Amino acid sequence: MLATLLLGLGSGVLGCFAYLRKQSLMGDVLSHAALPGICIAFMLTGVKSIPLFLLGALISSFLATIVIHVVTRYSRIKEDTTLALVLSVFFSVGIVLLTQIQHYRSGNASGLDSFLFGQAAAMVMKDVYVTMGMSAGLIFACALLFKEFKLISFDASFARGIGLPVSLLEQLLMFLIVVAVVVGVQAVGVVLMAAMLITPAVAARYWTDRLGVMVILSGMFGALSGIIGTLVSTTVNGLPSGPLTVLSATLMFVVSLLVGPKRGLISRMAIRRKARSRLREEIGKSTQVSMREGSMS
Amino acid sequence: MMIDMWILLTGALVATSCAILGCFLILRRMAMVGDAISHAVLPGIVIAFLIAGTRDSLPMLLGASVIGMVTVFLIQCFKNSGVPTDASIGVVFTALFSIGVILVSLYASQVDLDLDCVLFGEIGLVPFDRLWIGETDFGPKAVWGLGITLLVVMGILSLFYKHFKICSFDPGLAVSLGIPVALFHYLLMGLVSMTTVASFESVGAILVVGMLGRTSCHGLLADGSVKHYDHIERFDWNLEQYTWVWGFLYFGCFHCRVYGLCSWYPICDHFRLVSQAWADETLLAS
Repeated sequence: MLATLLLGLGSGVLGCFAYLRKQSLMGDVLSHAALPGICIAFMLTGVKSIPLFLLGALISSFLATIVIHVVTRYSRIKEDTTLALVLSVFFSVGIVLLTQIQHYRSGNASGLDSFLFGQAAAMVMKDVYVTMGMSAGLIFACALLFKEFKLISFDASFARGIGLPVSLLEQLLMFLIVVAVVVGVQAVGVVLMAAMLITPAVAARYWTDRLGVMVILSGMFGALSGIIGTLVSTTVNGLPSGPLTVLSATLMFVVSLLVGPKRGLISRMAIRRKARSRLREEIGKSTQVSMREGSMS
Repeated sequence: MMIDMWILLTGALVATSCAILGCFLILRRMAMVGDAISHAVLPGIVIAFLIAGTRDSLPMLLGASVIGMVTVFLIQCFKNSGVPTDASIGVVFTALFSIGVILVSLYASQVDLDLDCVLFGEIGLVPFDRLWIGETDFGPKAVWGLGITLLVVMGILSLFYKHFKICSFDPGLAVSLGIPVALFHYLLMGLVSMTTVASFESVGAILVVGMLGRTSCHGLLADGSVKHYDHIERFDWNLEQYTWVWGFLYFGCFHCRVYGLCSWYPICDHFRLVSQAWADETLLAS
């Protein structure tokens, strides 16, 4: 549970930057791109060891970020299309490898599937330590480089102007996201890791206009959904914790969407109503004035 | 040999309908919507299965299409209330997918559904699931389903081709001309969700995304560099060229009979096109 808590915290914090840079779907792509890495790691070594898988996944996901960067930079293809392309290419390579593995070493490979779909309850103590250490490292890195990340998210050209190594920082941010995804994959699964990056950040956006507050809030949302998901999963028998975590995060998002101050639907409706009544008042006043003027002349 | 032919035909059908729709999606910068729909249909399939109690394709197709439309509708709702497109796509499909996973694990004892099968698909099994009417064998079910899908897609697109074109390039102009933009948006999305659902059985949900994106990208790269006309001109070209080229590519790669590899051949071709487009551009610039 502590692992999901920290994981939610870390991914929530990172998700903010991804959200502001309009790269929310990056998490989705990267978690799919981890598959070939995991398969290759397994094929090379023939053992199921979590650190090796993590390493393989890390390398292949990082490769994916570089491909995305290069393709968007040097060709006509837009960013979203590049994401879709890279996702499908890496994932199909992964599937081909996975089929190969299942063909030639049946029985030995059964763990790979559960690795992909994730099950927090199945983690052993060692995995928990790895996850916790990684998440803590992520949060620490974010805190350290907060100012720099803020700058490149909002005004990259200004950042370049004052002499920051922008592309290096961008790659670093990508790398942090990759680490978060890879660590999260075994806890909540491939698809749902994407949600952990997006949903808390979007929810937090509704509560504040300040980045610092948003990052903290988003981290808290992530942590909270991790706790709720794990708790429900342990009390109700047979429910996987990953989807539950995502659903609780989604619930928070919907609540924020409705009641968030300033940007929420309810407060926005109130503002609109106020504006409308003021407009009506003014129109009424001006018609009165013009009528009076008309009667005078 | 017969089996090979059916597999080939299935692949070509999937690829063609995906390629046609992909053009429009890319132009609207919505390439990831296919991904979202293909993940989000999972709860639809499970619910349809629970209600109907059979593994017939028809109720499942129906359930999946309904959920696909719900997905699109939700994405649009969130977008209208101020969430950026990519974030709203991400939120919606992950939530729906997790509902699906929870449903599967809740009813795991009753549901004879294979998660892998839904996500990855297996084109090699297509020829063995045949359509029987009375005693006569009408060929694989998937081919019929996909054929009908392709016909519907082509029919609707050719009827309203001009409308779709204007809506994709200049929604403002479309509104001022009195074209119901929202209606066409949902129509297009409906077609996308129909195609996705029809093809995931055979090629898998995730590869559908690739087909939606990649094929039309080829189109953009291949003639975009040669013809520096206005966008609309270029776009006309894409459509024609890419339905053909793509069907042809599929012909080529399925002859290898390595089903899983079906995406590799296009990748090579993709890089060829990218480099070619690049070379053309530098030539023109100099």
